[in-house]
Amino acid sequence: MKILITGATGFIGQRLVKELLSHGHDLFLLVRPGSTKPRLENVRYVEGNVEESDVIGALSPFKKILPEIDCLVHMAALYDLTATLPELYLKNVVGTQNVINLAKKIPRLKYFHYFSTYAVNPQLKGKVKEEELSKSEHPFPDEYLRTKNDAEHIVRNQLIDGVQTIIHRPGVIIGESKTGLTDKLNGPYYFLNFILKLKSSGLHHRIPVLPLPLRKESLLPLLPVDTLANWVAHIITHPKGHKLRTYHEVSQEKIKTIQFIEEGMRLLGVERPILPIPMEKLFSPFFPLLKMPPEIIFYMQQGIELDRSQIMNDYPELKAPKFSEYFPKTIQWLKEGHL
Amino acid sequence: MKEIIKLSFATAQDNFDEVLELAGIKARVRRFGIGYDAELAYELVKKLKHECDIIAVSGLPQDIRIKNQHFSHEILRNIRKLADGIAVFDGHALRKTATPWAIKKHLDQDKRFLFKKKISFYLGLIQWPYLSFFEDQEAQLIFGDLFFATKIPLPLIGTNALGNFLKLNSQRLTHYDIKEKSPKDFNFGPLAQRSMKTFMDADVFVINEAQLKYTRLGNLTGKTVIIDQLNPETEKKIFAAGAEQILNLFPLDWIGGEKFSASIIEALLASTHEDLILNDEDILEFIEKIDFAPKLITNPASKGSIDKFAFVIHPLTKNQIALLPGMKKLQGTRLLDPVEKAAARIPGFHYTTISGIRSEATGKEVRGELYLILNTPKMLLNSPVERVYNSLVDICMKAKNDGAKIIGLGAYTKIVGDAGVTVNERSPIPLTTGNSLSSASTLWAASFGVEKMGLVKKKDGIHQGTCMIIGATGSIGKICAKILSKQWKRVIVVAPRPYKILELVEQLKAFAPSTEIIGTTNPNKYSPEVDLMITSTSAQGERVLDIELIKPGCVVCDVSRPFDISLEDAAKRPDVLIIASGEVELPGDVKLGRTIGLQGDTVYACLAETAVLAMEGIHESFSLSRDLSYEKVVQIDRLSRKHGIKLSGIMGHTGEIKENEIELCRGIALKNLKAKTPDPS
Repeated sequence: MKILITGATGFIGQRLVKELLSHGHDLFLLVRPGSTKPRLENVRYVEGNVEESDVIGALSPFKKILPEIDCLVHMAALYDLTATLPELYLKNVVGTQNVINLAKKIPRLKYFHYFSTYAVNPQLKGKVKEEELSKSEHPFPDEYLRTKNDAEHIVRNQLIDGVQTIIHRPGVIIGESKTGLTDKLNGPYYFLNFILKLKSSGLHHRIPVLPLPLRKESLLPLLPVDTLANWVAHIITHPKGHKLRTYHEVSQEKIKTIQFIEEGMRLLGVERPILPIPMEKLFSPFFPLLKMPPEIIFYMQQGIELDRSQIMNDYPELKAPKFSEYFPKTIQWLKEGHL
Repeated sequence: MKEIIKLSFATAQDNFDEVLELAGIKARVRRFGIGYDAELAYELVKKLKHECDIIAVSGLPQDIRIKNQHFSHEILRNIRKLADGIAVFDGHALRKTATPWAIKKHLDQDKRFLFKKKISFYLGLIQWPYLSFFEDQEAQLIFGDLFFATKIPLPLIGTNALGNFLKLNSQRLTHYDIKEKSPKDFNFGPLAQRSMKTFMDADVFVINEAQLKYTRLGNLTGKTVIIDQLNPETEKKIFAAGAEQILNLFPLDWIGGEKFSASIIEALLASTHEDLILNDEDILEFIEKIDFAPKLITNPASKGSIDKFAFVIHPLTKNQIALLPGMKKLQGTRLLDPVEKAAARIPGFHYTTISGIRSEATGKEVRGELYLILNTPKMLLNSPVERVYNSLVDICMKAKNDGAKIIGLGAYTKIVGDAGVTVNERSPIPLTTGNSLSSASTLWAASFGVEKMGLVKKKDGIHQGTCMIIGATGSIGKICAKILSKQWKRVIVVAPRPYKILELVEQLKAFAPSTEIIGTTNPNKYSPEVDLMITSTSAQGERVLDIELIKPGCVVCDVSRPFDISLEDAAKRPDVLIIASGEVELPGDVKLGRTIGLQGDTVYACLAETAVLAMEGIHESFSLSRDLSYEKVVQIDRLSRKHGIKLSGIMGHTGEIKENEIELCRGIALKNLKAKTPDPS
């Protein structure tokens, strides 16, 4: 298959490229004109900018590759909690609209893969189905999620004739399952960093319990990054023929946030019982002091369980490695202080 | 094809990128939801202005011109500056014309919709350009702008107050933060509740869709809301506040879906011009082309609620005034005469409530509010007409304030002047004389009398006898003739002018081909053969027929006021059943607070008509003037049966006719009939 990918240089993108190459696909990676990032040998590069109305300019020599493409993977997005709304909006919302317009110009396009996020429905409660997308007047916990929600609406509302659209909603991404390797200590790593700090301060010897703003039943929908890349490459290679499909790409194993922290504490040698206090408002003012991003609250308080019926139905063969097997490697990698 | 960028401040989602077509004009529209973030809007304008011809924005406060001053919200000003020569449209030029036009369209259907109503505007400055339209309806305008801008819970009353407020606060208003963090809450605490009472007491509330997102409406039970555009979510919100009905000015399907907002329409219209400037002519031409149909939606939950109707009564004699508390001692004294005159000057007041009226068909409960004016028939007919009108209009206002949806005129109040027409024109709620049901119930009484007398045989539902209508070319007479021609074998119509009779006979023959129709100018010629006689003339008490000639056992319905058959005449014929009217009973567990001068739960048929209209939800002037229509009588007859109105008593000249009186009459009639027919042996 000839696949055009946006955002292929990111954390997930690099691994996806490798997986796709191993499946024998021809890859075209979209890069900004003049990009100086190191280039791979066995892929072709296409210059373009998703923030421009014409992603690949009308006069661009790269336009001639479009008739060859049969699959477009749009994973370019700005995921930066310090970015301003206009920055996020231009990249995530306007960018997605522009990519859809690009997709419409690809004459033989059969598949359009779009990367959303598991947290695109922050206002929902309980079991969330894969085809659900909140459209609420309520505010979003952060601007990133707002723009991702807007963007997924665009994708759903503007399905392209004759093209199968697949929306990927990856869960909370953690380092590689075999090595524990990661390049950003965000998301669930904040908890682990917090425990490390606690340990180095020696504070844990002086407190009988560790109170945390946590709901006991909150789930952490984890997936190692290499597993995700493997799954997505598998899904791209084996299309199922649906006009529109959405997949919650999270482990089949249900891991609770409290379980994640307890296990992390055990592995890091900080054995203190956790006292979960489900009162977000009481704690949230202290989060900036602890240098924790507000999105952490989302992991600790959300009452969402991500339903997996569509991915289970279409790809029952996709299984994530067990938490108990990869998590010690995550911790090991962290202990070794690579970052 | 032109490129339009649409920035929507109020909603974040529903972005699209499509070619839209309106009245033959095509343009590519890219829509981006801003969600009240000005910085985002600025960045998008900077980025996208190079990719478009026109920018359309929505959800921002519009420009306001008060006398010589011109205020423009800073965000709109900044966008215009950043757009750098690209045309920016905000939809207000279209709204300024289309909004009052849409309301006017609804007023064509229901001209009283705003008339003399109290109208509260959550944020009046948005409606500023067309407030005069509301003023033309003689409405009282109340504004929540002060509360909206400063949280000071005081309403602004009248356009002047709003104008002064806007002028004084122009700086603040052009800079105020449109990004509402906490919604404006119109659910007031006890103190503010009192100070904002005038605002919340209004009949009609005006708000727009963008505003509604950050407004808690407060308790709108039974109220009407006017909104520019309604989606299922906003509809739910308004009805949850208790509103009775919503006037949706621009239903989403009005020109092809929610993608077309006012600003996009303006942009599309402007895109046809080389210079991209929008002319007034474009808007006028567009509005003419588009078929406006504002939609009135009733709260589905309010079916269980109680609708109110009003009814005006008055004492029938001066002695009845003396029945009022504190007046007992005047009974029978000479003082009663000046009291009668003085009482006529007292404004009408709420007298009692009839509760528990419940439709047998729908279960809908209605409540009657009865208002009393202390005018005897003599005072009503002898006072200057204008004075009586004024006191009746005054009651209509009171009834509206008490929440009544329709008002009925009782007894002599509907006879004064033009029989309700003028009062109806000046009333804020529709008015009915109740005459349609009065006519129908009189026929019910007639048929009941005929049944009870039992002297006429019925075959296939048709009375095998003769009936006669005197005054058949008059308004009520004609209706009776039409109805009876379908129920009797032989119908005789009597009127003074022969050519009118000819016309009527021709009509009736076409209407009821199997009935024998006879026209005459002389009732006495046929009266010995008649089993049922209806007299409805304007003979003003002059004798219209010879009572002695009437067939024994005949039922005579005297609909005329004053009566055609005098008391003395009536006394001469105990073998003839003389009926003046039929009065009725309301369905349900009816409770009358105070007596209205009838026995038990019996009420006037005209009151019942008002109740039926309330139960059916027909809030229109049903019967007016002395002219009735056949269709209306048939309609009210059907509706009354549907809702369970029953004949409860037949009234003679001197009061209710009891069962045994009919028995007695029948006995004498049978005897006299026997005496008249020669014994075959």
